[in-house]
Amino acid sequence: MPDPTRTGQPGDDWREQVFAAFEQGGVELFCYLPDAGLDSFISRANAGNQDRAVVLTTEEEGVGICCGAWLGGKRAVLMIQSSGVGNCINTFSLVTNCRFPFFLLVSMRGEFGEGNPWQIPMGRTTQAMLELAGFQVFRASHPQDAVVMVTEGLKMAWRSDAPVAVLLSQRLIGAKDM
Amino acid sequence: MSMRRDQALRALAEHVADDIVVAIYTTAFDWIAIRESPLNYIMTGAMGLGSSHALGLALGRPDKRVLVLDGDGSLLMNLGSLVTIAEAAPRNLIHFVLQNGTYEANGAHPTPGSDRVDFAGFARAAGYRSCHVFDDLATFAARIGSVLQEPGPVFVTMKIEPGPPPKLDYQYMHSAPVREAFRAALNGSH
Repeated sequence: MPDPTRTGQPGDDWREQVFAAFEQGGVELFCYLPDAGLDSFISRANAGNQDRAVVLTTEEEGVGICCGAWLGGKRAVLMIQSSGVGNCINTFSLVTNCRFPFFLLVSMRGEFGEGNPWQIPMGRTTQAMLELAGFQVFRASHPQDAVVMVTEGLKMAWRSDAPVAVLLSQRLIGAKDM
Repeated sequence: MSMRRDQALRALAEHVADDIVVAIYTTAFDWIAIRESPLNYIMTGAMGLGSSHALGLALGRPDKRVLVLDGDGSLLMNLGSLVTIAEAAPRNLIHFVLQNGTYEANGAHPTPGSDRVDFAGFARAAGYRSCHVFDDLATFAARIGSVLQEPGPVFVTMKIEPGPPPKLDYQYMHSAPVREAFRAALNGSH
């Protein structure tokens, strides 16, 4: 569906600015599950340096990979859909017990305009689950929120060894036209 | 046929220099008793994540060889990681599974399919560059040195006997100080 947040001008697209924030924040590895809401970031991660995109079979793998990469000296981020947050819950104990810096980007489903009832339970519980698991959660509902939250969230994760999640609300990324 | 884990790990240790070794659950305690190193990284929680953690390390430090000593119960919990590792194809990752057919750290109940699951077969089908199965100590000791020289991702099944209940040292479990010590050692290791 047409994206009302796109202006058509290169550099004006908030998605480009978010990805630029990742690059400026020193992110060298992007772990992800394929997802329409993350499409733009997945495409950019796969463009250019082929070694920086890691496609996963399930979200919790990304928790281990991001922590391992950081130990090895590379900053990594995990990009998943809200339903996948539920898959990760036990593995977040690795992040909190060992105080890994960790950055999670979540494309929200199951909220504004959702047409798929299977997305609604995790849509309603994702933010609370992340907070219970020890994450600092920022929810972006406007394009510029997303850019600044990713920029500052990356700094917070790496400067304070904290788990940080930025949720891209469904109102921001648009409901899938079912 | 099967091997005693401590004997097989001793044979492996003879060929391990300044490599990163990610060791899982009960194997971890045998391993750290055999090979002391600041580049030992033990995982006794977040079950299943050992292989993924090792993949991250392999991608983060492509100049270092990374061995993961996975468990069969752990790998069953994260079989998809075989596909992810094959796709990422790190040349410096060697993935061992110590197959004893039990969840040894937690009651020693049998794993599903314990008498027939072929983990090396899974790894081969997923696309690992080479896959091996060892169930005899003499053969393992004779061949593991050359297996370690193969470009990864390499998969090695070690068929081992179930052992006694582990004495888990919770003081040395994976924790923030332990991971920081490991990271500092790794950052100083070239």
